[in-house]
Amino acid sequence: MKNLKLKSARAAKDLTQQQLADIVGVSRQTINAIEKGDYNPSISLCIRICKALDKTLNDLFWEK
Amino acid sequence: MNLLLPIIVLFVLILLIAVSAKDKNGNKKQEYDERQKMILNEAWRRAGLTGIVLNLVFAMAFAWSSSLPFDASFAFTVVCYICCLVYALYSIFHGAYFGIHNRWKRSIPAISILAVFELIAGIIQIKRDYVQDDRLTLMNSSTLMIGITFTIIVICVLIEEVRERKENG
Repeated sequence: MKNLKLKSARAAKDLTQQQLADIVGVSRQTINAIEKGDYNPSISLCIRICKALDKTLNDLFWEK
Repeated sequence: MNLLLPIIVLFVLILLIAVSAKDKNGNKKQEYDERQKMILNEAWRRAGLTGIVLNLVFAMAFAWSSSLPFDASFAFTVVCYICCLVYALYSIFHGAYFGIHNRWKRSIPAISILAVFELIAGIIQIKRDYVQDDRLTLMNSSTLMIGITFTIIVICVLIEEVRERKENG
C-alpha cells in the first residue's frame, strides 16, 4: 500500500526524495520504495524520517 | 611474447578504471542502508541458487552426452560468470549498487573500453584456438566471457541510469 502521508509530508517540507534520503542517511531508492509501499522500514528509520519531517510515527506510519 | 601487449593494455585499463573511480571524496566510506543490505542478501541467495541449478544442468548434460561442444572447465566458468551477473544485475536494478550513483558512473567509459577490448580479443582468441581444441574450453573462451559479462553489466547500468533520470525528472 502506498504511503501517501509520507509523500505529502515530504512535499509539504519542499524536499525531494534525494534530499530526504540524505537527511536520514539512506538511498533515494529506499525513500522511493517506502513511499510506494514496496518496503517496510525499520522503526529506527521511521523515527529518523519523522524527525526530519517534524511528524510523529502516527502521522506517517499508522494506518487506520 | 605476443601476449605481452594485451596484458599491458589490460593493466593500463584497470589502472584507468581505478583512477576514474576515485572521486574527490574518495576517502569517504559509503555504507549500504538497511533496504540495500536486504537486497544484497537476496542477490546472494539468487546467485547461489542459480549456481546450484546450472551446475546440476551441466552435470546432467555431461552425464548424458560425451560429445558436447564444450568441456567441463568452460561449463564451470560459465556458471561462475552467470552467478556474478545475477548478483550484479539484481543489485543494479534494485538500487543497491553504489557504483551506479557514485564511482561506477564515472568509471563506465573505462569499463566500456575494457569490455570492447575483451570482446575483440576474445573473438580473435576463439577464432584462433577453437579449431585446434575442437570445442569451447576455459582457455579459448575466457576472454570473450569476461567481455560479455562486462558488456552486460555496462548495458544494465546505463539502462538503470536512464530509468533513474526518468524517475527523478
